[in-house]
Amino acid sequence: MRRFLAGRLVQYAVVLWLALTLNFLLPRLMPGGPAQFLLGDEAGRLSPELKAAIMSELGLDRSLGHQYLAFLGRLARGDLGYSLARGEPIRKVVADRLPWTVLLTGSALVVATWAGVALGTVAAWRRGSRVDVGLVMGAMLLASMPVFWLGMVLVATFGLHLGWFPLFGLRTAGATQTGWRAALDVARHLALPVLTLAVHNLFGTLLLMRHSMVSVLGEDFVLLARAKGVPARRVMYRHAMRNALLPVATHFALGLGFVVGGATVTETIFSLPGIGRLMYEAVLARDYPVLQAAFLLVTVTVIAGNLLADLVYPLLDPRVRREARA
Amino acid sequence: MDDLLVIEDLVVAYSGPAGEVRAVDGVSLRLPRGASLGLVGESGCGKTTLALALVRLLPSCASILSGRILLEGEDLVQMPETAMEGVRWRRVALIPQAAMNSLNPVYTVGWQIREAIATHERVASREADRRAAAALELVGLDPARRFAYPHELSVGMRQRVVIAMAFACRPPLIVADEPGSGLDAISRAQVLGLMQRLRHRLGTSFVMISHDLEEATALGDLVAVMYAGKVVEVCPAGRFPGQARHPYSRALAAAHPPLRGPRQQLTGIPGEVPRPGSPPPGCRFHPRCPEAAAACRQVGPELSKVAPGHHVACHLWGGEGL
Repeated sequence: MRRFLAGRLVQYAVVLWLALTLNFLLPRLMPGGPAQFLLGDEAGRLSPELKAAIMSELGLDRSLGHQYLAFLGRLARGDLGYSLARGEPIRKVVADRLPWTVLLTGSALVVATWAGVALGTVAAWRRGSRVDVGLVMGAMLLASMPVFWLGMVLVATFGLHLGWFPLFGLRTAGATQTGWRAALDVARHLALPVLTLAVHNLFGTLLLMRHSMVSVLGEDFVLLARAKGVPARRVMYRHAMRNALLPVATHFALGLGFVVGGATVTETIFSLPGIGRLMYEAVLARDYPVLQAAFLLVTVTVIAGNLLADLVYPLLDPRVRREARA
Repeated sequence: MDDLLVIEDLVVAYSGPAGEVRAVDGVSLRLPRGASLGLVGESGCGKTTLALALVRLLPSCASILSGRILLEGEDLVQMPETAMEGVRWRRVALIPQAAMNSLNPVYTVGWQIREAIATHERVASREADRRAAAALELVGLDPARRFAYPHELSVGMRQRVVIAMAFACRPPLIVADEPGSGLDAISRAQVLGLMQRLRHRLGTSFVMISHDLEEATALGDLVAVMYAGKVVEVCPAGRFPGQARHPYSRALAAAHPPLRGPRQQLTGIPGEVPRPGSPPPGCRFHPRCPEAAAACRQVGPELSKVAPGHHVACHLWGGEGL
């Protein structure tokens, strides 16, 4: 087990190193070079002397190898660079926004997985029935709607028309509550965005769970469990679902990887201060260092999600545990 | 007479796009308490369907159309599903086909035996664990194996685990569907020997389903031969296959090499089992029967007595017809 773990960690370290290197090279491969990258359209209007001074200031006049080492060193200290458009260290900008994104997409992932598992199980249990067809078609219909459109329909219905939820933002303007009242306020604001994302992502989990469950229900161990006199409901939960959940667990862990980068459109529609909207704003402002840092963050979380899936799976499936031990 | 199991005129049908298909068509059998029955026949004769019907675990496309299954005098066909859950395993255990592959891969075998016990009896978990260990010992496995997952055991060991599980609640009747198939010759002999020993020790009745004559007669006091959904011959195990009367029974025996005695020419049975949806008129075996007469093509024979405890459904041996 320990050797398996060490082997996996080495693999992931290599992938991480490749991702960091690519992240380092990206701005340097762009037409116009790093100066254009950093300063955007301003670059053309600067005098050559000023440009050289900035390059030297930022260490960009030194060799690529030197710059690479400096880049890794800064990352090791947690320094993501400096946002020119905002005049703030990127680390601070990210630290302000990351929790909201994680709260939004994490909640949506949990809701989508929970609902997908429940509905997928029902569909599998009653496969071929109208319920099954209705669920699959309904989820497919919802998944095929563009997120921005779905979000706007939900806002129009539950926000404008029914007035149940606020239309945008994270807090009520001018709100001064603290403690659980503040939390409640945030929850009310997040309800629609979470619903939007969850509904959009429901289909994958539902279909995966349904398929997994249908194939497990045909397994011999389900018949043996029934033959043992185990009640149908318990056979479904303890025997069938326990096995059918294995691929869903992987799907969930991989989904965690996309928690950071996956909500740009939703955050923009609902004006939520998250990483997704930060990226959107950075594109508009041509704030390339912020984009570079955001990409790095997204890459690292995807890798971490995969690693988590790899580590958790042996705990769920004893057959993998043996391979891991061997 | 104290009958453990009585099957009366049982009809089981699958409904498909081509209409209703009777896989078991009017089967009647009688099993005294403590006795065992070997059920033989080619694949597709309805043996497995009969086994699943006995515990009412037919696939959703199949149903019992008519007949009765009396277990200790109680009709299982009419029993509500919740009551049936209490009957399964405690009063009749099913060792399904390919039992060695029917353990749940994510639980230890001990957990799965404990579940069988705890489903039917209120026992403390320590007591259930002790009994799971004892059940494994009963089938000659190290009790420490209860902590193993199915994939950590060999095929033969897994088969024995399922047998241990079947005995865990001491049911009066065990239905075993081809318990020896899929095993190598040594494991198969071990499993059959084990079932013989346990049967004598615990007095459990067996319905032993097999296409293998040796396996079917290994435990049997009685042998029943099934063909195309019907029982064509029932006789004491001692009379089988030597004094078997039905041409199909004799053809089955002739297709089987005897282990001892002079070498014989093996003969197959020409043709194949008729599709259950469209059985031939008259005796269902007549298209493949070397002795078929005109009457066989028109009238289906009923079981009739040829010796004490020996019944054959064949015009050649019946009192009437011909």
